[in-house]
Amino acid sequence: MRCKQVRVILLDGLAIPGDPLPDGAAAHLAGCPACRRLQAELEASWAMLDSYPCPEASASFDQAVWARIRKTEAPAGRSRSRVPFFLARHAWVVGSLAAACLVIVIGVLLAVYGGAGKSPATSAARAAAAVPAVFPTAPRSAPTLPCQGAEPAAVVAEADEERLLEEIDELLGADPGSVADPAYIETPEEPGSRSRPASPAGVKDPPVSPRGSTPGVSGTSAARWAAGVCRHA
Amino acid sequence: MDADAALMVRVREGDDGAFAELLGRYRQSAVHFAYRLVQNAAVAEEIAQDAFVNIYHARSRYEPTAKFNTWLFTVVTNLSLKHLKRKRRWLAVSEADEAAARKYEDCPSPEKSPLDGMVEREAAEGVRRAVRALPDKERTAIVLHKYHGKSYQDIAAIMKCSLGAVKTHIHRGKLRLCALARGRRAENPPDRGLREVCDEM
Repeated sequence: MRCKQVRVILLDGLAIPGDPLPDGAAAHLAGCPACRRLQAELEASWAMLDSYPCPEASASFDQAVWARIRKTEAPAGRSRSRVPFFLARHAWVVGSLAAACLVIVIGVLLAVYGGAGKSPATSAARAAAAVPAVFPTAPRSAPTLPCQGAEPAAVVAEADEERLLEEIDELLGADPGSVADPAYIETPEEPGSRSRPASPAGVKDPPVSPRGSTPGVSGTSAARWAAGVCRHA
Repeated sequence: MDADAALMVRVREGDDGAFAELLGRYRQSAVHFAYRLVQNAAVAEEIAQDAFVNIYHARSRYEPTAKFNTWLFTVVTNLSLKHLKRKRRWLAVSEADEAAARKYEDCPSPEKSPLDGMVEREAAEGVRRAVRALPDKERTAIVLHKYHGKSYQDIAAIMKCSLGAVKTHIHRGKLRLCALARGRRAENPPDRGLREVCDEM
């Protein structure tokens, strides 16, 4: 037997103290001082391990074990009774699904109720409904005023309405010269009679409806009136 | 089915008395094994308690084909190696503190003389240093083999490794211990040991 084989046997042989070595190993040991020395050292170091004292378990070991068992068992039982197993094990999945559902519901509610007032169709309808209230008989709605044809009715604000009415009143009331005699307008001018009646009493106020058309307004005044409307539009 | 397996089956069925019996049987073995691995009495007791608590909570998974003590030693080994890794990482307890703590753990028995006590402590400290010098796996295999009489097959089952790996761990551990013992003898020759120095005095 070779030294290497014998050393393996020696290392294994210590497993069972007193177990006899194989014949070949014993013969090798008898003639090999190096292997004999290794055997002695191995036995000594193995025996050295015997002098390794160990502390005894404490008297309260069992009580401590039972106390820890009860302590660790109680919270687990409570949690099992409170939370279903699926929720406890897949809490993140359930949370994600709940968050996704919440986002979808909020989005649907916003789409149905939040954005409806801003839709262009509704705004146009509201503006169209508001125009007759502003100008019940407004020339805006009348096709006789070409400057208003393409204008959206909603651009006329309520503040402008009052100013417009004031201007109309001013034009019709504050400039009496502009109000012509219907006879003067309608009848062609006779030769030699170009002067107007001197008496102001001869001036007849045309029947002006407050916000309606102005029959009797001269062509110049009507143009100015229309220009004012366009300016304020 | 051996007696331990029968007790464990009863534990699985809800018999706490059977678990108390197993606790009484293996309490010392678990504490000793953990102590030889971690070399701290308080930590060893805590690890042994943890092992029993873990086994109790895992009782429903026990199969009678497995040996109870193999299972127990596996749990103690895992907890001890985990503790050693954590300790190495944080170095929470210094060597000096551990040595000071061991002075009180290794009180000699009252019937021994103070000199015998000192010799015993010196020998124990030498063994402890030698065992501590072993790598974790070699130490586990040597301790299971030497102190708990486990066969190579049982050690392989406990350490979750092959039979060849167990043999390698044990052979290397033995050779390392042999070299350490040789080094000790070189530092303290037998003719000038503590006993001789004391005799001269």
